[in-house]
Parts: sequence; C-alpha cells; structure tokens
Amino acid sequence: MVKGTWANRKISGVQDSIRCRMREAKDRKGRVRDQKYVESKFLTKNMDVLVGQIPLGSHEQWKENKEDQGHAQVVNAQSIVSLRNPYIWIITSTMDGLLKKSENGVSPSVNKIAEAVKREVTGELENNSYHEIFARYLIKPAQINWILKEDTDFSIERRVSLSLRNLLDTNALIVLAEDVEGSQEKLQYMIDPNSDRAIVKLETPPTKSNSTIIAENVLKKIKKDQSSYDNLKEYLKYEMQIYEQAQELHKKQVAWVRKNKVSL
Amino acid sequence: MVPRVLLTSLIAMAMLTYYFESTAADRESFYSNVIGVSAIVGFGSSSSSGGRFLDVGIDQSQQEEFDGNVYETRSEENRIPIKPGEFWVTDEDEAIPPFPVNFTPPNDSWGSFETLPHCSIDYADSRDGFPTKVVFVNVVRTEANWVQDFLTSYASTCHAGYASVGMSNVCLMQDCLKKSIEDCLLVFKYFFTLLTTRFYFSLFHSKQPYVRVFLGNQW
Repeated sequence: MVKGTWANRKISGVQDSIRCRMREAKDRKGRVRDQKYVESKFLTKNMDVLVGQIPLGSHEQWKENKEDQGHAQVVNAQSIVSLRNPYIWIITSTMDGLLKKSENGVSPSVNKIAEAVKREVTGELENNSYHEIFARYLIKPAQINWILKEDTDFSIERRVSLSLRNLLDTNALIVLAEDVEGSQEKLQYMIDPNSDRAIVKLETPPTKSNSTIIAENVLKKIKKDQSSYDNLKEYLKYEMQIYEQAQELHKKQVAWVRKNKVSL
Repeated sequence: MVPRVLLTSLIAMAMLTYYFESTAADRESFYSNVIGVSAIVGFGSSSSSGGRFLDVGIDQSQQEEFDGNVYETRSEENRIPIKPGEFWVTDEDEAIPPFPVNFTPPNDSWGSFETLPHCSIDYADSRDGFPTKVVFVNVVRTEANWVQDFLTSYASTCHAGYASVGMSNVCLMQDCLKKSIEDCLLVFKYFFTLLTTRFYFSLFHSKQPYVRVFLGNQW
C-alpha cells in the first residue's frame, strides 16, 4: 500500500518557530507590546487583527470566554486571503533567487530568468513534483494535523479540493494581486459598509510592481518555446485550479458588494 | 505440530545464514520482510484486531512472475522491502476526514462576508475587544503588503489591537543585533537546527510548548 505523500509541503520545524513568532504587536490603546510568540491568551486580551504568512483557520485556537456561556469559544473572525497568478509568482520567486545569488546585485536578464525557470520546472517534473504553495496556507492547521496523524492517502487533487472548500466555508475575503481595484473595493466595504464616514481610505491603489512587469516579459519569452511552456503549464496545473476557482469566487464577492452598495 | 517445528527451524536457519553472509543494509530490509511475514503467519487468520488484508489475489502478470523463480525474473535492485503496514490495513487507515473535502463551485448567491463594526464604537476598554476579528492570510507577501498597510491604518484609526506574525531570516539577524541575548540564541538555534535531525529538533521544542500553542502543533 502506497501512502499519500506531501513531499513538497516543506513545513519544517524551523519554519514552525518563525511562523509562530510575533513581529509586531500593538494593543487597542496603541501601545507596542513586547510579545515574543503568538499565544491565544495574549490575542484574546489585546488583539483584533492578526496578519502574516499564517494559514487559514489560524484563529481556531484563538478563544474567548463568553460570560453568558461559561466556556471558551473560538472568536468570530473574518479571514482575508491574498492570492497571485502562479505563473507570475514562480517567475518572480526565481528572479529573487537569482538576485540573491548574484555577487554584484545586478538584476538578471529576461533570458537568464526564463532559463532558470525552465530548469527548475524540468527538474521538479522529473521528480513528479508540482508547484503547491496555496495548499500550505489554505489547509487549516487542524486539518494538517489530522492528515499527518492518520498518515492517510491525501492526494494532491484532494488537497486542491480541500483548499477551495476552505475558502468557500470560511467565506474568506479574497484579494487578488491581479485585481487590486476589486480587492480594494471589498476591503473598503468590509470596514465601512454604509459608506457614511470615511474611516480609512486607500486613495491610490498600488501600481504593478517592477518585478511583475519583468515576470510578464519572462512569461512571454517562455511561451515562445512551446515545449517549455507545456512543461510550465503542467507544473502549475494544480495551483492554477485553485487560482482560477478563486478568481470566480472573487468575482462573486465583488458582485455581492456592488449589489449591496446599490441597494443602500 | 511437526510441520510447524520444521517451518520454524527452516526460518531460523535461513535467518542465521543470511545474518552471516549479508551486509547491514540487506539485513534491515530482510528483517522488514521477516516481520511482515511473521505478522501474516502469526495474525493472518485472526480478525479480532479489527484489521483486514488488502487484496490478496494475484493478477495474471504477477502470477506468471510467481510461477517461476522470483529471483530470476526480478532483479536485485527492483526488490522492494515490504513493511508490516503494507500487508495489514487497520481500521484507522480508512479513516474518513472529520471535515468536508469536496469542492463544488457555488452559485451566484455566494459572495457575502462579514463587515466590521463602525469605528465610532470604542472597544479599547472592553474585555473581548472587537466582536469580529480579522485574520489576514498574506500568502503572497510583497504583492499584498498594501493590504497589511490598509489593516494597520484601520487598526490605529479604530483602536483595534494589531498583531503581525512571522519573520524573515534577515529580520531574525537584525533582531539579534538590537534585541536580547535570548533572540541571539534563537538565531543560533535556527541555524543549528538546520544541521541537526528532526528527532533532535523535537526534543528542543519540547522545552517550549507555548511556542506552538496558538497555531497548532504542526505549524
């Protein structure tokens, strides 16, 4: 019997400790708190907003004592999840890797990046490994625990499905790097649904970053070589399933916001 | 009774012969096989432990292979050591996830999310703070840091407690320079852990259970 493996999960103990470390904490009175680790008790007492490279469902250990119910309950939370086109993502991360390796700090050329991406993709596919980062964040810690504990055959297709299911079940507000305008509209609605007072406004949506522009050129270059592009498509196919469905969910959320605004 | 004694003697002799003529690696895989076979001989007919055999039938291609001498038809390097768990499936192996897995695209009625209370309500002195918390899963970092900035502004304007989690290696090093010795030790631990085994790491972390209290054991 071959057990299901999740070889590219790359969750190591080292990452655990980084993930659990508090970078910045300010309480409700604006005081900086010197808190080293993320702990349920500290969050309950002082925090309302938690951000970082943390998995969906991170709040499930964030509990509060309800006086009327006499026992600790998981806090009510609205999750926000940021996603990005996997093609652009893999290219920019390869680019970053090359930049770090370069001795003089000069940005690598489009050709060099394209070749590096092709090499990486070929190598990964030879190992039957697919790009899979979204699932690391969209599968909840408790679910990961269950999968590892049971050592069960939890295939990549099921991980894709579970990731999407979690987005759906949590009603996570999806932010797409490729649609800043729509994403911003949703965030603005979340904090100020009645548009009666300008609480916080992000006046200028961020423009496309330089690295994204370079990545788009690299992608154009790779597309000219059909075989390499096919490889890239294959390597990203599971990630794309999540991204494409997330795009659809994002559109539905934007539509919901616009409908509510009209009815005001 | 006699056949059983004979079988036991033969296995014992085979094991002794193998032990003196094989390499350490061979022995390891051999023991795996022996344990697996023993599991079948010893427990195979019992169903009281709640397990059952996987498909025991041999398909035609396998049958042809088994009809001949296995070691003639299967090369040495293609032999796969068999572990006990591969013969025996317990009920736990078929566990059903305690959470829904299947995804079906929702219809157009889907799309709502929670909105936050108006900033005019001050929760700064309340015991539990805001009734709805915000958790931002910043998967893509750089490209979505503007969301983080947005939430920082929201928190400071509306008197919400704000916490950001996670730290790059560079930040760890910077911390080391300007903060406490304890942080320095964490950096050393970080690099030292890279060079040590997972077993060592688990021992190390057992001294700091609180580190993982919030995000769950495996994260």
